[in-house]
Amino acid sequence: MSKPNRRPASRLMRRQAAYGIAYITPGMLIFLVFCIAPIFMTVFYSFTQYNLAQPPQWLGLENYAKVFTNSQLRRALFNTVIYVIITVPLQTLMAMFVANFLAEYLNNRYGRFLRSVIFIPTLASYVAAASVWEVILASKGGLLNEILGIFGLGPYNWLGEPTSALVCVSLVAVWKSVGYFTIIFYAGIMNIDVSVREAALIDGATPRQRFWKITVPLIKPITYLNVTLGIIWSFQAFDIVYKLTGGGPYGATSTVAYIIYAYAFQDFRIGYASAVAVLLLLVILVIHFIQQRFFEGKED
Amino acid sequence: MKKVLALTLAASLSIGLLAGCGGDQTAQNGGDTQGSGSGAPTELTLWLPIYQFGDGISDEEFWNGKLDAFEAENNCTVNLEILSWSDYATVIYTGMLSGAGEGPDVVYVTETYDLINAGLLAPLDEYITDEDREKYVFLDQGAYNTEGQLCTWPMMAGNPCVIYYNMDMLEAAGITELPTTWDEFFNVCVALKEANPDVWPFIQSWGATNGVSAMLASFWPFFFQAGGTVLDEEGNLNMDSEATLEVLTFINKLKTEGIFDDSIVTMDDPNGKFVNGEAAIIINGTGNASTYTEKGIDWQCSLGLEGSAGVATNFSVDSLAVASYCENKALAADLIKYITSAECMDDYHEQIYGMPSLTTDATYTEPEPFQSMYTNDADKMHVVPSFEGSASFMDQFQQNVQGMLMGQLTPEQVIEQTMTYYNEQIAS
Amino acid sequence: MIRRERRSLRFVVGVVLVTLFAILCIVPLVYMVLVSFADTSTMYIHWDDIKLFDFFNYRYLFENRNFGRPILNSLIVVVVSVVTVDLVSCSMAYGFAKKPIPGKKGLFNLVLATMMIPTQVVFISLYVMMRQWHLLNTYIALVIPLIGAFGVFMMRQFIQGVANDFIEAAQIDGCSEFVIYTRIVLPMVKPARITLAIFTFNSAWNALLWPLIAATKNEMQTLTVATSSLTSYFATNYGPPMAAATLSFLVPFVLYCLMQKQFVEGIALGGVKG
Repeated sequence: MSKPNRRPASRLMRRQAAYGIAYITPGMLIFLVFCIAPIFMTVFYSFTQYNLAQPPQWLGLENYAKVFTNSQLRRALFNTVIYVIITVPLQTLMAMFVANFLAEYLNNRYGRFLRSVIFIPTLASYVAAASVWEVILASKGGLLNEILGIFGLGPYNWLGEPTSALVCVSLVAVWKSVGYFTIIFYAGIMNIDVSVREAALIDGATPRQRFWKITVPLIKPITYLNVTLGIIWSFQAFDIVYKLTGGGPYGATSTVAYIIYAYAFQDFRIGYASAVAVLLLLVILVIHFIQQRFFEGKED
Repeated sequence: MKKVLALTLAASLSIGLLAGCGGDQTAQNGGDTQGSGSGAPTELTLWLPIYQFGDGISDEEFWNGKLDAFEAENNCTVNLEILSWSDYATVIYTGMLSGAGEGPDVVYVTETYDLINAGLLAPLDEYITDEDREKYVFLDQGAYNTEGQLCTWPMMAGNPCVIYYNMDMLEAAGITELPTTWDEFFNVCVALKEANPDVWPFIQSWGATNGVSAMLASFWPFFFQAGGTVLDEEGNLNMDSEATLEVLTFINKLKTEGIFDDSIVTMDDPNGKFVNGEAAIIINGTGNASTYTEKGIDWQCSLGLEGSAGVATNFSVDSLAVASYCENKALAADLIKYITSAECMDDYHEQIYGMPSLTTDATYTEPEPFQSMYTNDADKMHVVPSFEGSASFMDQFQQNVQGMLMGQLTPEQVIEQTMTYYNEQIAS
Repeated sequence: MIRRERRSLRFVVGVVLVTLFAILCIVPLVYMVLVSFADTSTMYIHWDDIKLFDFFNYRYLFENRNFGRPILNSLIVVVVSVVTVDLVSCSMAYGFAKKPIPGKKGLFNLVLATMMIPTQVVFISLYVMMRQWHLLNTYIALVIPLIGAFGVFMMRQFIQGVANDFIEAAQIDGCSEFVIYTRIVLPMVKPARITLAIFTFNSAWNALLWPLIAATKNEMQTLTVATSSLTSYFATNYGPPMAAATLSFLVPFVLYCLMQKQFVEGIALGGVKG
């Protein structure tokens, strides 16, 4: 590039940079003040005792020491992990199979109608979903037990047994979110180059081979996205627990997010709740790191 | 057009933000100058919870009618807010933390420990005359701060937990006499179960949404019957006791012997069961009696069973308090006295919610058999005090009792695990 | 397009299974609507208690529980947040995608990283902050946490796809920066903006945790919170809570029926491209 040209170009650049700064500044401020600053504040509070009434008092690592001996929290962490282990694979696999079937074999009006229907639970809030599932799962007079009763089964105390309560909570969450993931998978599969799939068909690949050898590898980025979102969301499960079981019975369905809520906003032990929240953040980061390894650094 | 709207909204939002940031300072500065304005009526904010659960006059209407006289007499304005019961203690705590202008000046409080500990309640001693001490019978049941000053003024004292029996169901089981001891009670439950296996002989609320409501009627009456005291003489938590063990063992027996079924740990509305005739016995506050009568339940009741420490039960004392940031505490104290006077309370008990009268000059009497209970058995009614982390303690206790009812913990383990948790995680 | 499979047994079984799955997805919601018309005082719901199109449970919500207010609150929060999120996300995305800002990559990654942070970590301190600024129980407090990195991230992906030729041509024609942004860039990413609006709408309408803690006063409750706090009063009468749940479901559902294409394509776009 010749010298005389550089000046006006860099002036233009500078002007463009100024415009750019103008575009991002208001938003950046909002992010800094309401999203990034609170993260650091929470980390700070996690080293203090703070009940909102008196100023925070520095405690050092005392909250963290307490966190590790907290049996309630241990149980909640265990529940959360079980919840993630049930929901994430189940909703991912179900969504993948259903989307694959709809895209590959039922690509007609009826298929699109089914796809629309499967998405509907996603529209409901967790509160609405939990409200109705509470009625369905009620041990006496609940719809599910009434139906099972016709076949001479039950009644089962779905939300009253620790194991079944946690499984029920997880399954309701899957019910609520599987439609969302189905839509994403569906779009991903439809996006696969038609020639690739047709080539496979001509090669005489069986449906099963086509699915595992062609579709699954090609939608890997989407699977990665769905698993990532699924894990992040599931680790923060709060609404459904709050509404469906309140963490009970015997703490069998209390999750880490639910405990943080109770500590921070019912007991106002801001410092202690912050320590638990920071721990949750660390857990999510570690799992994200492992998962990234698992998908071999897909998505840069 | 759309964009104009968008911009206006965004602009108003950002202005709101700035105003919000600036508001902090003005609120702080304003604190000193406010109230000094002469002539203008003083403002008081009053927060009360809803007590009208029937179809009568609403709480708002009732109090606005009553407060007119007070406002005229004292040249002040009382801003009344009626709160719902959901998360009541939380709403009060956060409301009072917001301070003057947003929080209440006079407020109805249930759990007092955190409020007093945070210095949010003003001591009332200097506003109490000897005459008041004579007149207001429950005054010494209020809550005190560490200096021994009274910080809350009882407004709703009563509603003791009594045992209601559905007499139709008892008769169907051939039971004519109400039980008096724990053993007799247990035998009645067994007889009821045998007579009709489809209904609950006795029902409790271990599935309630929080520990405070779970323990209210399901634990404390038995605890006091067994001679328990919540705090020892030095004010330390005294739940690690023989009385606790005795009660838990009894509750556990009700489960293992099949009086409770498995859904006892999740069912959150035992009262509905009693109202619908699906349960024969329930322990509940006396305030529920009218509902039972309305629903056509043929009920009888007794104050409590006879445990190793005799007949006993618990009752609650909820009070009014003045915020420490209130600028006109004397007026606020007057407002409290006015609210709790016979002039207001006689009608309140008649029209909104029946409770024992607060003052010696009041004319309202509770329906029988409750009035005689208050007159004769007041010494058998105990208050559960608010202590450090009491709500969390009770949540943990409830959770562990659920564990016991599911066969995972023994009564001893319930106590041990709850106390360990309390000492390690809650107590400072 | 792939030729349809032979109508083999496997195909028929697949259709039946997927159909059953779809039915399973909506049965609970149909049941919710049915029970919202039920007049029941016991926990056993009998089919003859259900009086379709007799709106007594709904009337009860509006007349005795003032449900008009939470619905209004939710609508205000939704409208303000959809507009704000659109405004903030698009302008930030445009800056990040098309402008030579020094330190751009670092700033963008900083914004992006907030997507990994659990909401609880932010909410604790945000609550403290809002309280100190006396913003609790305001619409501002309810809207702020809905502004998130996702919108910026998604819009940047799409604005990056806008060819620079268009922008440069407009610059040569002497169009002002503002005109380029509003007349050229924004219209070209309209589908993505609709997607973002749908996402924002859904999360604003259905949010529970933040409104639960940031709006303690009854008159600031959103519909979701009001629905949630309703159940505790009516443990054995399922009618009113189901009516409230139906109401809260109805608005997104009607919107979905009207804009199904945008919903489905939007989520697909957000997912595949994002």
